[in-house]
Amino acid sequence: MNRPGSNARNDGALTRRQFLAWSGAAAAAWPALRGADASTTTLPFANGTRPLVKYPQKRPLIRLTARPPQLETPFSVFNESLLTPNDAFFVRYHLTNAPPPPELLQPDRFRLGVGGKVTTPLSLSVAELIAKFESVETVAVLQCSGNSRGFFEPRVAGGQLGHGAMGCARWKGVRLADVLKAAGLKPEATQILFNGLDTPALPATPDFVKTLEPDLALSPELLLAYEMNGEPLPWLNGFPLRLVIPGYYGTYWIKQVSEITAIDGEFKGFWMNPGYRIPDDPCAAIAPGTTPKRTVPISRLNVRSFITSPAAGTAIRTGTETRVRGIAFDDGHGIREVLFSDDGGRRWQAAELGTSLGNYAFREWTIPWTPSRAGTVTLMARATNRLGQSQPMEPLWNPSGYMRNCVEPVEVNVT
Amino acid sequence: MLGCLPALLAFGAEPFVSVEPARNPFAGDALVLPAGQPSVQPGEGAGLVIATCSQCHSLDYITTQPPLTRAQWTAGVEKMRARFGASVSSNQVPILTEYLTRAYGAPAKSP
Ligand code: HEC
Repeated sequence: MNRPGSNARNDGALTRRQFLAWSGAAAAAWPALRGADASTTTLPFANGTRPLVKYPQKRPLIRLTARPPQLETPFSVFNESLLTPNDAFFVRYHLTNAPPPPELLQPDRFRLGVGGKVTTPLSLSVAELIAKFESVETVAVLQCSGNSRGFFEPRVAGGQLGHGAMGCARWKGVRLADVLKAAGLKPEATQILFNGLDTPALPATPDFVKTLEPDLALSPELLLAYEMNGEPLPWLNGFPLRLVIPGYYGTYWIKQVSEITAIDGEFKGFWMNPGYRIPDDPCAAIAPGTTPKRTVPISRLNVRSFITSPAAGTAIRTGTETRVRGIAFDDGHGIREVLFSDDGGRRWQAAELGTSLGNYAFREWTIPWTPSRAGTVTLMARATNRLGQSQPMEPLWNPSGYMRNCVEPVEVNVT
Repeated sequence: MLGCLPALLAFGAEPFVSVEPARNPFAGDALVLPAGQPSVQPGEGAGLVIATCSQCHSLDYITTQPPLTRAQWTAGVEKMRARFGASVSSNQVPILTEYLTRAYGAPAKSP
């Protein structure tokens, strides 16, 4: 009853049947798991059973991998508040020695260096950054390039995520542009490199370094953030300093960012090429199972929307008015409209948009709904932004499993 | 089949989600990652996989993959070797891909 594309129904509470299924099958699949995890959840795709594990400063989250930690937010959290709580915010690291050990992050030890093609190289503690530069706040969605990869058909290798590798937070920090101006980019600087304190186990593994074009790096919207939702960043989300690039995929939002280097020429590191590339096509899509002719670096978020309530599988009575609600977001143009359908996409009705927390934030939408006929009913939401960009009805495909943004049907049982 | 039916009927009671997240009750946690690493299914080649493939990441990188074809597992092992510097000798490649395809594989698609 959970067809692909529906949201994970069971996050947190286990039904008795699921518990019995898990205690047999999944326990066998996790033989060496010590520390006895109390529960698991099953994302609605093949091999989707995951343990719920508590990490420092986090509530139990859906664990994709243990070392380095990759944790996914249970989908029900997106129905709790528009700003995703820090203790539920997803975690994504790439390299073995991540997150960096707390000793390296102490206020008297951690420094941000700015160098390369600049007139005045800088080395600043977080306190110095705060003292020297104006602090500003922005509410923005952080979404992993591979969010929802587990729903790709045909399936592709990579982190098998449900919809929980996204979140929306109020970020506070200094403008990256102000710091770059203080360092003085030389005219020959063509790319700005960003590196964090995470390191690989073997020297042969490429360090996780990302680049931005100077034009983007100098945009006033980018932050070197030290606070998230009014608190210092959690350790697993980049404490004490991370890059915030509203409207861009999370791969660029370097955590524990410690080195900014202006270069001339083109950086050739793995994580820019061939890593994190999409087909050079307006929809970042090619025919399933094929190989793209040309690729470009992944960049801006596409339009998405989700139904956060009712959850898939909920039982609802005919004739009872309920309120369907959800979230929508894009890369900062702003959501213009969310349409809702209760008949699998034949007829659509405009939902009411909630208060805007800014163009880069989750936008709430709601619509009153009274189911009229019993049976399995497929609910859908489809958002359009101010540019007129919307969501495809059917999933698009690319070989890395990036940028899924199709309409996500949610089936409920009307009785 | 949903034992939690009455509670679920109340989902529409609050018309708007709150904007602010709840305070973080875990902020004072010790910064220590939980112990406990998943392993792979037993079988011929499992020992080599554990030794070779847990050097840089936990084995759930393997166990959480969807059923992948032999071609996909072969490409995966090659990526670990060529891109990330995993020390895999050429005579180990078939042992690794054979194990991975048997334990975590999908049938090859007919053309
Ligand atoms: C030298 C370090 C290293 C070794 C050894 C290694 N890997 Fe990896 N592996 C990586 C890195 C780095 C990633 C990518 C991490 C990311 O994107 O978060 C990765 C990712 C993966 C993934 C996820 C899919 C993907 O392509 O990102 C799979 C599956 C995987 N490894 C399997 C294996 C297997 C099987 C072995 C043993 C043959 C192995 N790894 C050995 C470094 C290594």
